[in-house]
Amino acid sequence: MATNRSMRLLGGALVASALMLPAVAAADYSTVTDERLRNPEPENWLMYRGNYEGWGFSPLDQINTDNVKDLKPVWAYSTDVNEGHQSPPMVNDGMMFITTPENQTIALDAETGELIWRHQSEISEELFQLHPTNRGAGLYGDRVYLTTTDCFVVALDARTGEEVWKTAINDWELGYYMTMAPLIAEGVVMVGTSGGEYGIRGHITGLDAETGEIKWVTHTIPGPGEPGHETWETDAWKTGGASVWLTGNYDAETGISYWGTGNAAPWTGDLHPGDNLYTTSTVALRVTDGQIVGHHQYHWNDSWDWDEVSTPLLVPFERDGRQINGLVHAGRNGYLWLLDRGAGSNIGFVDAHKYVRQDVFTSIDPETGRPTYDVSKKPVVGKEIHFCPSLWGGKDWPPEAYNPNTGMFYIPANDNLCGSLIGEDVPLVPGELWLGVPIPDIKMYFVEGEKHIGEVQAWNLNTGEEVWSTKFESFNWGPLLTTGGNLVFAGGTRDRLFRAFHGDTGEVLWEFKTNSGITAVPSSYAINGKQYIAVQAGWGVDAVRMENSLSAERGWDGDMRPTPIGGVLWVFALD
Amino acid sequence: MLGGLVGWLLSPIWFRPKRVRAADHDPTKLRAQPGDQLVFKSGDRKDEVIAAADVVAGEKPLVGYPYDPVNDVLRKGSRLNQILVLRLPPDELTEEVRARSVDGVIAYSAICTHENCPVTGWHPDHEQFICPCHETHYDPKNGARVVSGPAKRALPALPLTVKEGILIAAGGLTGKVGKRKSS
Repeated sequence: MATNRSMRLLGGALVASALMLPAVAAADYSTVTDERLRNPEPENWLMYRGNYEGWGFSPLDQINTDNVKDLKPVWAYSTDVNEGHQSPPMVNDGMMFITTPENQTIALDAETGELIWRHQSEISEELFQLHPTNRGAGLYGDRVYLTTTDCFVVALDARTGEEVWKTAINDWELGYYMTMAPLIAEGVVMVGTSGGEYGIRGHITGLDAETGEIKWVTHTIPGPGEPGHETWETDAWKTGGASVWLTGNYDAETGISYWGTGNAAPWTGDLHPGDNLYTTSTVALRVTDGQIVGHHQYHWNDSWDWDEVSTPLLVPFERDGRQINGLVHAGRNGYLWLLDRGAGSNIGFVDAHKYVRQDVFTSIDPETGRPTYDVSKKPVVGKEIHFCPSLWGGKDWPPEAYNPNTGMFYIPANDNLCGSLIGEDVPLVPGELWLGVPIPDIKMYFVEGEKHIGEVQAWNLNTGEEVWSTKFESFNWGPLLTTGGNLVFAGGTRDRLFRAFHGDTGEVLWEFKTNSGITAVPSSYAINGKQYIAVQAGWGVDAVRMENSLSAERGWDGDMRPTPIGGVLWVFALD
Repeated sequence: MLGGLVGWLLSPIWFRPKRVRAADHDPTKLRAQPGDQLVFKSGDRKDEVIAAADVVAGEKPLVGYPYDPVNDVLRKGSRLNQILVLRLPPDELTEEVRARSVDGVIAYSAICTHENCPVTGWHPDHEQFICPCHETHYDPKNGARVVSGPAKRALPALPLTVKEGILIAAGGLTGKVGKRKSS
C-alpha cells in the first residue's frame, strides 16, 4: 500500500527530473577565459568555427591522409528531435555541448557519450519557425550561452544546465528570431537576429556576459542622420531587412568583430530603391561599444535574396608581394570575395572570382569591387526575371574552411542551379512572411545538360585559382571542417554520407553512411591523446526545401521516398 | 508556477485537481466550434462575415477566423485558428470532402502540420495549397492530404453548411491543428 511518505519520495524524484538535475555530476569545469578563446587548445572546440578567425580548422593530426580509411564510429546519441541539425559539437576538456532544433541543449561526456544534462526552452505554440534549428552554443566563463527561436539569449550554468539569466533581444511576434551561436569576446555576448523574410530592421546586440544586461544595440540599417542612411531613397529602411543570422568572427588584436548581413526586404530592389546599406554586406563592429567602423557591400540594391550573411574568414594572403590581413567570403552571389581588413577599419576590396555559374554581374570595379548588373537579370515587380545562381546562391549558410598549414581555402558550393522571381507589391503585416513574391513564382531549376550540383572546392588565395573541385550529383549543404591531418570532413549530400577528402587533391579517402543527411558543422577534439571527429546527422530545414523543389525535375523520388530525417550525434575515431 | 507543479506532483494521485490551462477559459483562443461563422482575416473586408457567394471558383483561397455570432466572440486569440476557404468543382472532390462541402465550398485549418506556418501559398495550375516555410503541398480535393514535402499529416477539415447565404461550421475541426509534439 502506498504511504504518504513513499508518495512524497516519488514526488521528490519526479520534481528532480523535472528540474533536470544532473544524471551524472559534472566534474570540475574548465572555465573558458578570454586567453583560452584567443588561443584555443587543439584538443578542444570552444566556439562555432573553432577559433575567432572562423577557420573551421582543428590542428590535430592523429587522424590523417594515411590512416583515415580506418576511421570508425565509436558512439552515437539520439537527440530526440526530427528536424535539421546544424550545430557543431563544442568540447571543453571532456565535456561536450550540442544544440538541436526545438531549442534543446544537451551536455555529454565527450569520451563515453554518457548524458550529463539536457535543457529545453519552452516556446509558444503561436510561434512558427521558418528555420527550426540552432547553430550552436557559445562557451564563456562557466556558462553556456544560447539563442532561441523566440528571440531570447539564455545563459545556462555549464555544469548543471540550469538557467542563470534570459534576455529578450526583440519581439518574436514581429518576426524577429534567432538560431545562431553567439560570438563572445571580452565579456560581451554578441548576437544578431533573423527575420529578413518578415520585414524586420536588422540589428546586432551586445550583452554583458555576467548579467545579461544589454550594453549596446547597433542597427544594420542606419537610421536618419546616421552614415549610410542616404542609401535608402524611401521609407523602406524601416522594414528593409539586413538580418544577421550567423556567428561573427573576431580580430583579438584590434578588438573588432566582423558580421555578414542578409537580404534586403522585400525581395525585389525596385521596392527599396538605393544601394541599401548595410544589406548584403560585411560590417565591422567594435566589440566594446558596437560602433560600426567599416563595411563592404558585396552587391547593392539586393533583388535576388542573396543574403551575404555568411561571415568572412580572417585569413592572411599575398597579393603583389604584399601580405594582406584578409577577409575572405564565398558569396551567395556566386563570387569569392577577397578583402583587406587592414588595420581594423575601412575594409578594402582586393579581388573577386566567380566560383559558380553567374550571369548577373557584367563587371566588377577593380578599385571598389562594386558590380554592374545585366538589368535583364535583376528581378522587379510584375515581370518574370531569370538569373544564376538561384536565390540559394553559390553557397548558402554552410561555412567555408581554411587550413593554415597548407594555405588552402575550401568552399561547399552548389552550381548549375538557376532561378526566377516575379515580384509583387503587397503591404507588410507585422509578424507575417513578406517576400514580395508569390510562392508559386519562386522558381529554381537545374541547368539542362549539366551533370552535377554539389561541390567541395579548394582555392589558392594567393594565385586566386581553384585548385580542385570534387563534384556530386546531389546538391551540397555540408559545412566544412579541415584538420592538421590535411583532411577536409563534410556531409551535405542526399546520400547520408559523411566524407573525408584529401586536402591537397579532393580525393574521397573515407566515407560513412549515417542515419540521415548531414547539414551540421563537424568538429574535432581529443581526450587522453585520442582524436575524435564528431558531427550531428539530421536532415531538414533548407536542405529539405531544396530537395522538394528539385526532386521531381531530377527524378530523385521515383518512389516518393526523400532523404530520411532524425537527429543522431555521431562520434568517430581510429581503432 | 513551479510551486504549483511541486504541489501537484506531491499530492496523492487520487486527489489531484484537473490541471486547467488559461486557454480553456478564453473563447477567443478556442478552435472553430460548430455553429461558428467565418470572417475575413485581412484586406478591405477584414472582420466581415464570409458569405458563400464571396468564395469564387478559380480564385486563390480566402483566409478567415472563426466567429461565434451567438456570443459575439471573434476567435482571433490564437494565430492557429486561421481557416482556409475555397470553392472547387464539386464533382472533382472526393466523396468524403463533398460531404463536408456546400456547392464545392470547402474549408481547412490554415496551419501547416509540419512546423505551424500558415499555409498561404496556392498553386493555381495544380490547385494545391503550398506551405511557404518548407514547401509541403496539400490537395484540397482529397482531404488536404500531403502530396509532397515534410509534413506528415493532412490539414484538419472544417465541415461546412450554409444558412441564409452565410457559411457556418457544421461541426468542429476533424483533427488537432498544427504540429504534433513528439512528447
